[in-house]
Amino acid sequence: MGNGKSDLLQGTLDMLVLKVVALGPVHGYGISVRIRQISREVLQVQQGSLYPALHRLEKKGWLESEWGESESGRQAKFYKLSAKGRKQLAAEETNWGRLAGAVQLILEAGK
Amino acid sequence: MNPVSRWIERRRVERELAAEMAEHLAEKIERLREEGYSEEAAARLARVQFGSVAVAEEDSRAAWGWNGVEEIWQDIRFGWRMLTKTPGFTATAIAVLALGMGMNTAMFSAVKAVLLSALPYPAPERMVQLNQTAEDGHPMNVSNLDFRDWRAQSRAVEAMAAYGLDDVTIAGDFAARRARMAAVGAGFFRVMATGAAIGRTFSAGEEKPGGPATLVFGYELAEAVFGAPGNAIGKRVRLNGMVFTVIGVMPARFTFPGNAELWLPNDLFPDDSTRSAHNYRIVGRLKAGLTVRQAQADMDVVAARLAKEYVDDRNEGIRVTTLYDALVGSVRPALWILLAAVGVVLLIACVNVSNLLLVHAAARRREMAMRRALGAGGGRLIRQLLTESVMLAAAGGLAGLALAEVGVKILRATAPEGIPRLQNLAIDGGVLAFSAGLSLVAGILFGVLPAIESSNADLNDALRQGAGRGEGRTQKRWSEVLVVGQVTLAIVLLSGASLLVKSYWRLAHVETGLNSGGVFIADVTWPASADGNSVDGAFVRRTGGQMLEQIANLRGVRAAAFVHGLPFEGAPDGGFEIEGRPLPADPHMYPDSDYSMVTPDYFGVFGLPVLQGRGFTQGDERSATQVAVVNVTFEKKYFPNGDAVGKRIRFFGFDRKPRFLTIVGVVPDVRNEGLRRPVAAEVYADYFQHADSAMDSTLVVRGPASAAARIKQIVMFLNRDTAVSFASMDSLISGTVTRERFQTALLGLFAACALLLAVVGIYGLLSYTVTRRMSEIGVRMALGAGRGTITRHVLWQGSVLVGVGIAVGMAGSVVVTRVLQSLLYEVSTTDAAALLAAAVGFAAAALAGCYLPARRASAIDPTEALRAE
Repeated sequence: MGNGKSDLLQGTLDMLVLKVVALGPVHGYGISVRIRQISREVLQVQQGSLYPALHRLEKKGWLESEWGESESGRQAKFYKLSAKGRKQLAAEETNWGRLAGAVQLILEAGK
Repeated sequence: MNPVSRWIERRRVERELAAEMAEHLAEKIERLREEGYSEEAAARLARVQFGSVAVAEEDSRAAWGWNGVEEIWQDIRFGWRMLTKTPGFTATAIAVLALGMGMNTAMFSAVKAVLLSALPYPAPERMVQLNQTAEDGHPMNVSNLDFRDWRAQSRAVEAMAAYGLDDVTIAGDFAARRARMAAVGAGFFRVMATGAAIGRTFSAGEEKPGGPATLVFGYELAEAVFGAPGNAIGKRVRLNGMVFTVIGVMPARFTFPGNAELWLPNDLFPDDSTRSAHNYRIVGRLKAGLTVRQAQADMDVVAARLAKEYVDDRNEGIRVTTLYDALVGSVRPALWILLAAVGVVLLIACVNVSNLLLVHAAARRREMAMRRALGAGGGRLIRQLLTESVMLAAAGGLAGLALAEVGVKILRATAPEGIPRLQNLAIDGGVLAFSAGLSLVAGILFGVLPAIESSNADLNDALRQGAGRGEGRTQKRWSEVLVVGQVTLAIVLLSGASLLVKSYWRLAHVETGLNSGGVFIADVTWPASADGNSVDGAFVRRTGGQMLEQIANLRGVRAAAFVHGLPFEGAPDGGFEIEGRPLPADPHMYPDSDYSMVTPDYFGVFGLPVLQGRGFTQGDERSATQVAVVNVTFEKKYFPNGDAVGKRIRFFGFDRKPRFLTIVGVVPDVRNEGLRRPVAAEVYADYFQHADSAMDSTLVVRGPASAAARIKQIVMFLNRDTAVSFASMDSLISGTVTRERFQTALLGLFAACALLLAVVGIYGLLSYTVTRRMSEIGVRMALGAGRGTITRHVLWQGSVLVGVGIAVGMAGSVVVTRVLQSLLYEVSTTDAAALLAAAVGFAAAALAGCYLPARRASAIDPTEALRAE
């Protein structure tokens, strides 16, 4: 059981990060804030997981990065989606939709 | 990506990672400030929410896949710091490991030299030895007649050659000397697939009866005799008085068969007498692609055909073994056992280090707990600790190599001749690889338990306790288990050693029947007869008689004699008939007996009284009656009524014209076939009556060693082609058990090391316990416990561990010592006295190891101990 849970979380985190980045170039802090805001404070991303995830996605070539200036005027690393990342996001979204639908069906069974 | 750009890329990512996180924190702090926190509170809260920067960084780096190398390097640097910080602990551990690894490396190099290296001939896997087998399966040499049929009829063995081995005397423009000679049949060098290094080997013309007399020298002998091997070619050498020409020199270190130093064609003087003259050994080369099993099937057919055709071959078989098995088969069990034993010593050493580490780990609990608190995972800590133990093991392995170098020198110097190929022993690449692998395995072996144990350290517990006092209950339990295990292993080794020692003692104290003290012996060679197949009998009678007379007249010499078939050197044996009794139809059922030839004073030299009848006299030499003296076993076996004297017997194999010998006397039994074998029936014939068949003879003299030089002069003056070197009869006898002595000494040494290490282990554990319980003992004493009570208490604690270990060890010994079966002489593998001796000996040593800490405990000053608290 333990394994399934962390796999799901990790897979989900990657998808969420890709989705947030897809909305426009954003730095690490921005990603964590946006995930929290969009999910209406339900999802909190631990920084201990966020940065490893970002670097993992960058290594896979789904994210590209460049340094720019943040809203507060600091140097920050901005991530944006690569073409490959866009494809991956689409795939993950479909996948997630199917999974969520299936889970929903099971939960509704017998109602 | 090349390493340089990878490094640059990596530096960039590292820099960015740090900057990225710093930026994140800064944003967060700013936001919190906006929410109204003070600068300080905002910074604190941001850090708490962010979690460990170090962990996030490390995990992010892990995403790039660089961590492996980096972390190992980090671990090594850290390990180095830890190990150098506690030099006492480190040095002790390395010393213990060096002992274990050094012995293992040395022993492995012996196993590699003897068992694991291929034979130094081309396609060695195709080389086989062929033996005839008796009805009971024991292997025998082969007669020339049978050998020729084998060679003609075998389809699986491509080439086959017969050979015999002999010690001969060579002389020429150099001082006469003894040399080991192989008389080899046609095609021998083709079977070996080895040619001469200088000159050539025998041509077809030289490998037949009546061919030119030629010799091939070994490289080392040629060097010793002629200065340079190349000088040997064309030299004329007298061998047992006959002149040979040297035509070739073999490559250095070619000594097949059996440490041969020179080779001559045996077909010069073929022995074609009978099929029961088992005089030759056979080496062969299989056709390419065939297995020994196929060759065996092929030879079985040949054996069946010969058994049908010749009465001498009835019930006899042929056995094909690989040459490798034939050479090393007999030493293989002993070597593997010794390697296993030395492995056990290393295991015990590992347990010692493991226990040291457990104690060490107790002192490091706070450090470990701190590192866990800072975010290090359990796996990461285990890896760190394992790195440290592998570093320890590597250092131990390196120090062990130096020890092994010494060990190899000792092995080479003390190796008995009976162990083939041991002289090739060296620390080479393979041995180094073994040593490195061993270090790694040992490091993980002794490190894994302490590593798991200390990485499990409970955070709160450890941080609460003082550094010195922190110790888990499980750690102590593990230490005890390890000590018990150690005792068990040591007991098993000690039991084995004890059995071997007892067996060796038995062997060395076998009653030989000879009064051999004060007798010295020298091999002598007589000039060959004209046909080359025997010796010049007239010369032997004339000169030999003169020699004995002159030697007997020397001051202090009590008796001197010649003997052919000296006990312990393998006397010939053969079948005979008893006058008036019908011979069985099957030659295998003939009465048989050992047969040696002695001059009259032989029985006097060895103090053998004549029990019935008489011994030989000077007059027998010229008498027409052929006489014989028999031993007690002979009389019991063939004349149970005790009436052997006066009867006549006739041997088939030893005279060209078999003649009846009249038994004139009976003498006591002698262990004629060696210490390990029972006394066999033996017939002594008169030496001078059969002088022309006295090919290899030994001069035996009872007298002072100071007479040796004069005797040498006498012998060499009368027979210029002889070299005389004296040895004592006792050294000849003890020389037949050098292998047993060697393996007993080695196993004894290993067992002693095991004992020492195990006792040190017990001592260490108890000492540590006493130190740790100082204050408790102080309290007990303050409350009235006497010093005796404290001593007994600690001793009891140790004795329980030792007792359990001994009990388990004894049970294990009964099972494990079974592997020693083949090495033991008249000692059962469960010999109670020997096993008990091992247990008692260990218990005594262990008690001494327990006593020191116990005394220290009883000497504790309660006020001091309590104040320290």
